Amino acid sequence: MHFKHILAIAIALTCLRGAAPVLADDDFADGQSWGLEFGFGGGWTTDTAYTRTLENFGYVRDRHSRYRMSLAVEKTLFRYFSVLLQTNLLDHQRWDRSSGIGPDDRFEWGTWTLDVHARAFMPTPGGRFRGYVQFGIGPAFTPSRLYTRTSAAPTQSKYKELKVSYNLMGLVGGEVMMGEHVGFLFQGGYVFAPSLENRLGDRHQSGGGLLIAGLSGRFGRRL
Amino acid sequence: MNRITYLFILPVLLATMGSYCEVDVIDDPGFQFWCGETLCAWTVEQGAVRKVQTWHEHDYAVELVGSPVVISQKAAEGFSSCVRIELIADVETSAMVTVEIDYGGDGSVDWTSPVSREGYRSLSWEIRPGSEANSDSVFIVRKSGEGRAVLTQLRAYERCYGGM
Repeated sequence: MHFKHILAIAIALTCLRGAAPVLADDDFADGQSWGLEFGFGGGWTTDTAYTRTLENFGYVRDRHSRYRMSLAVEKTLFRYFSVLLQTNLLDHQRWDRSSGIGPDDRFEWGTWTLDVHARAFMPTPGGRFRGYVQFGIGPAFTPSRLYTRTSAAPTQSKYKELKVSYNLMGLVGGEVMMGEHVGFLFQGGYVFAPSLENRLGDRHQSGGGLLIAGLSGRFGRRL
Repeated sequence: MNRITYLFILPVLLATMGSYCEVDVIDDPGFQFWCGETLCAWTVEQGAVRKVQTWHEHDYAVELVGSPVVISQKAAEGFSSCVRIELIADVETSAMVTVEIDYGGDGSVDWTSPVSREGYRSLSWEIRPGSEANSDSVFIVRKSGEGRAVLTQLRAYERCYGGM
């Protein structure tokens, strides 16, 4: 790469960064570049080939948590663009099967994700509210536990596994600042998170739709 | 007493009589207990069986290998009233598998039903055997053909109401 190319890129980046202070009054949250977001809400996961196989093997769903949680750290890079490191708690289910003797067999799992998100946002004049769309990708972790008896001994054996897969997440949302540093957020979207796979080749999808509301904190150097 | 009084008394009576329960009459209905290469709770009377993994590497089933194969188990309890039998299996029609019960253990089969369920599907029956089904009764699974036959659960239980 020639020197003039490097110089052109440096000038372009300087112009891009330098444009922000001109309209600083309209920057979201007064241009604070760091954010911390915590959300709590609900989601829905459909039955899958994996859960239907559990039913075929005599398991009955005992608990299907529909609550979802989200925690994210945001860094605003440009005026309308930020990146986030975000973790989401997704599908959590517990299934039981009568063992006929002694305690019931039990199988349970929970999925959580750790993603990098890109967020494009548009603040309103005055910078008190913004709407955004974001897209994320990253690993999905699904620890599972099977409790069953494999001998005539009365105690159950516990078999733990950790399935690491991937997830894709698309969200739309909004955020309104209630003070200089504290805001209220809401977001909804869809997560595709193929997770557990059984020996028969059936795969579970731990994602699905989600709706979240929560609080955010804004701090850091003004842009 | 009028009807309103009965409406109040009935729930109280049901609550004091106890709750619904199930009494299993077969041990190890999930074919989970293995003593080496054979089942602990079932007797292999003829042929051979093999432990196989199912949906999970630690969830086991029994495969009836070759033909003929007969496995049996003496009932753990007497079951004179209504008994529900639930089978989950992957059985080809050519395996010619039957579930049988010998009430009283006198050597004669008193109840039998063919099994043909491919792809780990469930099958259930409800039977009312009467007083001859005492604790000497024997549950039998018989395979007469060469097809594949894997059983993952054979459960038999009586319904009861605790405290009655």
